[in-house]
Amino acid sequence: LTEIIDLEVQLAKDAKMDRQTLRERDRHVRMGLSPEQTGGSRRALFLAWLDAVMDRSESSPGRMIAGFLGLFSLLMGVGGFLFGLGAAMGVFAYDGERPVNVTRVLAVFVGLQLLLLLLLGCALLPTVWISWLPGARTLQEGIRALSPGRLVHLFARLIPSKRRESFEGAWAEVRAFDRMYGKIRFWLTVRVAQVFAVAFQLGALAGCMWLIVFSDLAFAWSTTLQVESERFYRLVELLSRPWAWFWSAATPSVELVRATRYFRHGGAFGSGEGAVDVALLGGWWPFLIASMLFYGLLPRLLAYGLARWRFSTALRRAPLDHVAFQELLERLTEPIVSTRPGEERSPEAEPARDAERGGGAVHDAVKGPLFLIRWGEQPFTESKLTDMVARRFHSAVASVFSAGVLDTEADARALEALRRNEAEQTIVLVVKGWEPPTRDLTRFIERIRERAGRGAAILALPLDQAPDGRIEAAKAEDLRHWTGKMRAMGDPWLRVVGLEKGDA
Amino acid sequence: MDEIPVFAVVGHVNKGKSSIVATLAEDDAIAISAEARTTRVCRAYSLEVDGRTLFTLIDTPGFEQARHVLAWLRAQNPPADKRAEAVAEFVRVHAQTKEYPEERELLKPILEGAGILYVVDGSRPFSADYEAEMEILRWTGRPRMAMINRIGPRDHTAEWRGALDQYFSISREFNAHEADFLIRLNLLKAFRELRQEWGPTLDEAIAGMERERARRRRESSRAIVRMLADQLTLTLEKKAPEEVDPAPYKERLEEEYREALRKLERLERDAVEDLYRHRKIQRREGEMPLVTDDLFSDGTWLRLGLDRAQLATTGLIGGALVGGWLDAATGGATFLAGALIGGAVGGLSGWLVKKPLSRVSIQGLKLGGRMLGIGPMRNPQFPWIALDRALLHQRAVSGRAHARRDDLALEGEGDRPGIVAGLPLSTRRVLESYFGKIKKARDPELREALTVEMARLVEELCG
Repeated sequence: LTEIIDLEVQLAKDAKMDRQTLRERDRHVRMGLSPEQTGGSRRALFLAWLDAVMDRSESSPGRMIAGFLGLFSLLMGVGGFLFGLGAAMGVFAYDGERPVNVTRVLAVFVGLQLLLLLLLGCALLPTVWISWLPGARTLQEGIRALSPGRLVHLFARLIPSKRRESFEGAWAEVRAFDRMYGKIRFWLTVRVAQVFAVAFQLGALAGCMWLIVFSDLAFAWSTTLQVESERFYRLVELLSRPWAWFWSAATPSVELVRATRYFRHGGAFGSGEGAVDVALLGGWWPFLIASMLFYGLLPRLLAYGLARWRFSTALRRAPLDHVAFQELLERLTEPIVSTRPGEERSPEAEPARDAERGGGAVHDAVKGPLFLIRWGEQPFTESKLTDMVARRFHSAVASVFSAGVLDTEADARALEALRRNEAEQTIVLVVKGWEPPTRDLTRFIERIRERAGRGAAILALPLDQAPDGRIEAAKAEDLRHWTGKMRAMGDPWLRVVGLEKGDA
Repeated sequence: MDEIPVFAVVGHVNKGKSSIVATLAEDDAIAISAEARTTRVCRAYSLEVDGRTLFTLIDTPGFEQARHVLAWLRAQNPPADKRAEAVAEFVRVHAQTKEYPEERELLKPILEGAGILYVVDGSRPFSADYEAEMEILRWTGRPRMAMINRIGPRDHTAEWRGALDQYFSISREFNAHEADFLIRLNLLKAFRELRQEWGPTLDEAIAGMERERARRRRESSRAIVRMLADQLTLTLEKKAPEEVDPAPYKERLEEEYREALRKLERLERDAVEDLYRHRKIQRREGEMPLVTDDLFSDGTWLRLGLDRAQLATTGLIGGALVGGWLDAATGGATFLAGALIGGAVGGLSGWLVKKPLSRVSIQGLKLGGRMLGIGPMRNPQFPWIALDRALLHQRAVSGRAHARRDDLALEGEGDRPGIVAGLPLSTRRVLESYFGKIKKARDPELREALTVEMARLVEELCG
């Protein structure tokens, strides 16, 4: 986790730096690495790079956050323990008059725990399984409906329009981050929750033991429901079955059950058989401890183990494939070819180029076949556009489509041509820079993502038309506008690129 | 009762719909931004005369998915007479699915009977993408007019006209950021052609706007003259102990005097801006060298008001008039001498441009202590500068479109951008004489009468 956070922080820092400096620095780093470091996985390469560019001593952001998370887990653990202790004290409270109600202990430490576990299980179930279980989907949706993410949009409406832009931008970053690291975050949350739960169970057990050892507890069972002693016994017997074969003392006998029924009316015990053997009243405790161990602590320990395991798998499998990583990889592997200009370049009037992160070496973001989609009716001819895009991205254009035109069927045709769920492809979307992005377009981009799946690069290329009809780079202001709007979509593999010098 | 015209201002996203509404409705509080989708729900702005609504403009969100809407409509394949119903059906059907929020919102007022003002940006090239929008509007069957609003420097108006003429009977150019009153009025006249039934109400609106225009000019000239009168006659007093050095008291009094003059000016500016319903104007020092430049900074002294020679001639004749009046009062015996002396005094005073505004006078008080007094205005250039500044400001405000969000700046350029310096001598003379009369008028009623009289003259100079 530390490493991923550090990588992200460093990349975010780099995004603000000059591209040429970055290229030189990273290429230099790459040259300094040993073959073992570079020959392995991408991940190993990135980590070696990170060590070179970042001072990862004790105060690196990743370490800080990991440390904070550790502290947070510890606090959750302590909190859970105290909470469990408190719960045990409450449930096992015995004032000497009315005995401790076994049913209540079972309800709190077995029934409630099983119910919570069931909910957790539902939340953890893969979506594929969900469709098999009747009602589970509704439940899962219900749980999700409670999540604060939905409130964000309501909240966004209350903000004045000027602030809304930046707010939505920030929210989009969060969503983009979640799309990349959602699994990690999810299992991290589950893990912390399990730390709390395990500690709660331990606390409850500790509290229970404390009371049993240091005070004389009387147990009984009572309920308003019409339950026969025999049926209650069967329930108890059923519950204790898992450990009955090795811990018989923890299985209450029929006599015990019969003798410890407690009626509030008159404060009397049993079924009219007179005085009860006082020793019997304490006989419930092994059973209770065993049920708490077996139904409370054990499943939680298992859940904790599962969360730990899934969390580390998610970390290992983190794709590290979004736009910034792609760029980094290219910076690391592409040799720098430089020519020294012999004379001053002619000061031609150049339209604004790459206002934000529009420019720079974007051909590095191209992977797999390049699909060119022209959005809307465009004044540029297809051949010129294809040439220009091929030059811009240093890659041949696999096929060209139109979308966003009056014929709405064209959209579907363009989508069908894309590879289904294939990260190794690039979709260049040529748009008119002077027109603001419409909902029509953002919906189309969402459909591209649905079709092409995670990881496929979508590059929006806003263009402008010079007075003489030539293609030229979009104006800086338009490019900024497009970058903002596209970023607000929260798609980590979508970016706005500008034209470079000489591309047009 | 005539039908009240309602106009829905519609168009592609970010084509300046809100700017047009702001300018036409004279409301500078309407949110306008270069970011798309500033307007999310329809908002209505009405022109009212005597509490009666004469027309309503509706600012709408922009088209976002027009071609899908058109595809849906075409799929219904209704005969020509049922097309408007198909549009209504579209809105109804998609209200449940929550799709097409912008289109549903903008079509609503049109389906309720509003006329259509379709806005395009003439500085960007036309493309066939817009045809879907125009076709949808045609399907509604409502009276419609196209407005070419040029936001950027390039000019594609000709291409646009060709396309717009296919769908709209009237198309007009209208720059929301530069449209002055006359342009707005002409546009309103064009609205009349959209629908006959709206004619009478719109005529009434046009007449009402013209009357309102005249009233604003009158009121602002009065505000200006009242400010001048207050500034010219302003006096301040301050008590000081007898034995102490009066210099610091003097200084403080002078500063208070200046501040009071400035405050009078600020009040007048606010009043004028309020008259023209510009409530959010930023008058900022530095960015607006003339209108908000401090009255006492050197730039103002040099660039506004009258130059020395003008001040001298105006003063000469003003002085001669005073002299002549003295002569008349003394029965004409000293006619020539009076005029000569008066002229000489006036001329001399004209050269004294840098004369202090007023001197602090010190009087002993009967019960101990001293009374320091300042005012009234003695500097002959001062009223000219104050008038010049006020006129420049008034003209800038009255000609300003309500869509503009930049700071108020002056059009005037060059060494002497002021207005009074260009006035004919005769006008300057009359104004000068009013300055003098107002300064001398002790009786408030007389002063008020002079103010109203002078305001009529100033009104001619207002924009």
